[in-house]
Amino acid sequence: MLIVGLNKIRDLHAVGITSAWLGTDGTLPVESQTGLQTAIYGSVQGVTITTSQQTNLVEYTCNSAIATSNTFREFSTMYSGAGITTIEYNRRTFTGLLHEDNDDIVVKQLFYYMNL
Amino acid sequence: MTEYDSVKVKDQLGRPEDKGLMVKRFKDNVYIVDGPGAIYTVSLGTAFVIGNPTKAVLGTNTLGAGNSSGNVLQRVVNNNNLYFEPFLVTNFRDAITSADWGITTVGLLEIANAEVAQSGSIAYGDQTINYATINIFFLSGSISTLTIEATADSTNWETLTLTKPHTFTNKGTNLKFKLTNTGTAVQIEYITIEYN
Repeated sequence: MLIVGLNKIRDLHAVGITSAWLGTDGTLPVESQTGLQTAIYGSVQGVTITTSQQTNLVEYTCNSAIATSNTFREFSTMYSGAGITTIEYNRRTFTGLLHEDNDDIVVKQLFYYMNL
Repeated sequence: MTEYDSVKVKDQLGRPEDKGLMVKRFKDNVYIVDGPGAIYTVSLGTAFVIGNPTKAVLGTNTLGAGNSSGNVLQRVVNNNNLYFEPFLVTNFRDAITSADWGITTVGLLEIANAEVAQSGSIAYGDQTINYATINIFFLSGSISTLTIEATADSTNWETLTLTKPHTFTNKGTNLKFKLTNTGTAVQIEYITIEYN
């Protein structure tokens, strides 16, 4: 696979990542799951994607005015929007992080497109 | 594999005709790697935030200014506790690094004699790290001139042996690695570090 081909796959993926969200379930991910286990719907926000060679950096902010008082333990990047079926690409868990109204939470997720 | 290659390889290795033999000639498997995820908080301080009931108070919060913090790292988490570094970007490179971390050639770490490549936090704030195993995939050079170190608490550096699980004496929640070269330059395509 050529680098230009990998970069095209990267671009196709980037177009398909429209948003991200957080949830409160910290149990380990299982491949057969379809997304977050306890998603907090109010945390859905659009993403900013920075593209470089074979890489997408997805950035997401859950600001201080939304979904506060939750202790978050999982996040996911996804394809969502009006009239389309939501697809969650991944699910990542972590030890609990309380979202207070004095803080924004910022998530940065890297995706690599590789020949191995 | 072509018939010519197949015969040639069998001749070289003396393997019988009926034995299976697979030679990977090209890196032709394509992977999408679900890479590290970092979580930060930004403390708003006295900044004015529309829609926030405690941060949109006239006379209290500062419109157009305020003392909000920068990003404060809270977590770095990896799939299956496996960190993968392909040297495509510098997000996890520490500023102390003197080696060429994917700058001259994207996707390649080049460490000349007396140079150091050191990561920032590659796992952070999520769990106590007891051990780590590092694997390095060389394009040129070898492990013979490299010293591998890692820290689980961001302070105490311990020496690792390639591919051997290392149990940290000083456990912690802030994992970093460091490579120091004392010989002929080496080129590294990627590194994996498994930890738990």
